[in-house]
Amino acid sequence: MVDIEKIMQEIREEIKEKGLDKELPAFESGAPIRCGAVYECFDEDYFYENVEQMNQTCLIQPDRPIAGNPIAVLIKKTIRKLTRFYIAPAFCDQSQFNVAAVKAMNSLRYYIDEDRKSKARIDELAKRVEELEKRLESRGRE
Amino acid sequence: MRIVQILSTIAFGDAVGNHTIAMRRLLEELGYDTEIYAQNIDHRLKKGTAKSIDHLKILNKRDIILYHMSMGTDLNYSIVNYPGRKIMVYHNITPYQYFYGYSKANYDLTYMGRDGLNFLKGKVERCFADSEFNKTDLIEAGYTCPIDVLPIIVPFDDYEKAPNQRVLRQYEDDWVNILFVGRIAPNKKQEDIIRAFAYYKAYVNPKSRLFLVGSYKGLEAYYRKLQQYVRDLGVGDVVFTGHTKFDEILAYYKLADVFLCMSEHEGFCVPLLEAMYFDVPIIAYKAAAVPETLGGSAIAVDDKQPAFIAKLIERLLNDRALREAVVKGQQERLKDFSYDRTKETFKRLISDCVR
Repeated sequence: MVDIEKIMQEIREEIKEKGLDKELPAFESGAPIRCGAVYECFDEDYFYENVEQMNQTCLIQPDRPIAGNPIAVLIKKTIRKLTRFYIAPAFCDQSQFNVAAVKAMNSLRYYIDEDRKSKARIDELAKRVEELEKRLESRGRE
Repeated sequence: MRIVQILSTIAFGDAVGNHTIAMRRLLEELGYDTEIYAQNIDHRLKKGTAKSIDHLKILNKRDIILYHMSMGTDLNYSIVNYPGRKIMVYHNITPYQYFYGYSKANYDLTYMGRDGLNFLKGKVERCFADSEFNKTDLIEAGYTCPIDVLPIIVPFDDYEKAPNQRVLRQYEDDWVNILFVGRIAPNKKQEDIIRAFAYYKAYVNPKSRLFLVGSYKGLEAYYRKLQQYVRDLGVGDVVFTGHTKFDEILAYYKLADVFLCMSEHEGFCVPLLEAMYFDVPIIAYKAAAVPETLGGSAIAVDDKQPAFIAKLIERLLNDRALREAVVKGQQERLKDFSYDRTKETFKRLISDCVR
């Protein structure tokens, strides 16, 4: 008869006696996570990367290189020609939307950059005010 | 008299979907006029498995609705408007707190699920709970109607299908394979499995790998955090399979040496039965319905200390007597969930309802 509780106790004692327990990084201590599609936090690098990608890929084209054997290529080309009247305007609409979305994101990027500059300027001025106050205080004492 | 099953989503290959389909098969065997109706039907299911709820024919007062409850949906509220006797089949709802910071959609779904559960209190005449744990959950939520335990019906015949050869070929070697099956979700605590594996690989056996089999759809933020954690620990050979086909899951069970479950919230945990079926010894954290499903078999632990789990895995793999005893215990426990036994329970419960 195997006594599992006893085995577990033996293992616990062995860990204690030999000091086998090791410090491992805690799960919470992980570096900031890129949220992907699910936005729960603001990750600046990720934001800039995505905006860059949006700028590069916003214009979409319905035509893609057609591959396969000659018969398959012929069939695919025929299908493409037959559906172009419907597909092309839809792609055009989508591109227009993408361009508008990219413009909005670029504006947001500009706003973030300006905001950062403003914050840096505010910090600089706050330091300057603090310095001047200290100087005034010391002059007052004199 | 008709008996219809209604649920929000019937998915391909998940425990609730399989349970619903198995219940329909049993109801048909018992000679009832029965159908499954759902709002969302997985396109991979065999045609005709379920019908859109929009096609639900008019029910009369004597008809029975078996309503599967597992998440937040408008059906939790509108179900009371359907004529007929209502029985809730309760699969539990993951506490919404687990999803905070990972997925607003899952957070909202589970939060609304709890709200729906409160709303249905006093509006169903009876409940079937997957486990005693789920039954207690209903009682704590204020349900005073009769509640019976009806375990998930697992169609074990399906597990006899051929495992995926590509997966088998890829990993069939002398390495130790540690397995967990279940969607990548914060309540399942995959980070604790990774931490224990990191210790095992670094200090016990470098020729080992971890399979985390399960979809991360909808929980990408948690998945990314787990990947980051793997990098922080500097541990290799952690395989996130993502969504897998059924024959691939079978292959992972065939390859597994140990099934490691650190989950903190399960209403039943079907993968434990699957591991039992494939004679994979289980080490599982005692939480929620897990100890009940194990029923004294396997190795249930109340400690997640990585060194302890790693040493336990080592002992389980090297101590033949222990391994055999664990597997034998699991085989005995699995008999309690055999198709025939669950079928008898279901028949008895349905007869009580119809009477």
